[in-house]
Amino acid sequence: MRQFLPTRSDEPMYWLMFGAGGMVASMVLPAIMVVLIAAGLTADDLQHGFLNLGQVYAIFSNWFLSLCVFGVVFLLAFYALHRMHHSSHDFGIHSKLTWYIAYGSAAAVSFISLGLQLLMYVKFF
Amino acid sequence: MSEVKSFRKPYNPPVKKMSWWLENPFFVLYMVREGTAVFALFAVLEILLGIFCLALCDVTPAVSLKGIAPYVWYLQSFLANPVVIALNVLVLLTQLFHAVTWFALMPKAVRVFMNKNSTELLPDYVTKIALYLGLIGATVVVLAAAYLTK
Repeated sequence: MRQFLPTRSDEPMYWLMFGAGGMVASMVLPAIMVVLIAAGLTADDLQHGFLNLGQVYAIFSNWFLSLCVFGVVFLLAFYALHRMHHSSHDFGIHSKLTWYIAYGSAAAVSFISLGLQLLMYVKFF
Repeated sequence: MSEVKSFRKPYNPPVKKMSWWLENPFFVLYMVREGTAVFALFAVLEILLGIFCLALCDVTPAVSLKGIAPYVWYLQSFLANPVVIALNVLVLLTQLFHAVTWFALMPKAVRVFMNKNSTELLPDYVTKIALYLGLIGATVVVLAAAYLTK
């Protein structure tokens, strides 16, 4: 009888993170990539290049900016792996295993990022 | 995963060859759009590597070149690597392509009504212009912040 009780699907949560991550990927990620390319091109100048040590310390010592970076990492990880998980159907993979791999990796990436940022906050500031 | 017992019996057509999507330009475009997620994942791992290298740094009692060596490696050996720069440019281009397709589907996915008393929808171009303005605004803010504080 229990199986006929109205229970809710958890799919909306993943779709929510997918939608938010897609927005991040299309709005913020291009600018972040430009900054990363510029950081690669100006890497020899440790004092005044893009993403120099002072600048990244300024980002990660500010709890709000650090949370913004975490939000970008977390949402993009869920977005990218959700999309890859659903694309696996197009290649004939209908296993439940891709569910565990995709969302497990996304959760791992998110927790590692959050943990490292907390570690930095405690260690440096 | 939800605890709901599924009574769905989906028909999964057999995929005879992996390159089925190459036969129709529409499906090629679809697969390219899905493939942009792989590049987004690369960007995520790149940012995560940067955070990891920064967390490895040691700045006590004073900032020294030896203490910040992991982050210097990330900047000078990873980000400045021509292969990584080329990949980053590829990520940038794929994400811009993703942005165009994402903004094009947004008016279809989210219906915005003119007001709450009518079923008339806001024209598609209004939503799209707002989204492109969002992209331009976010880009200007991020780039200006990165340039002015460097």
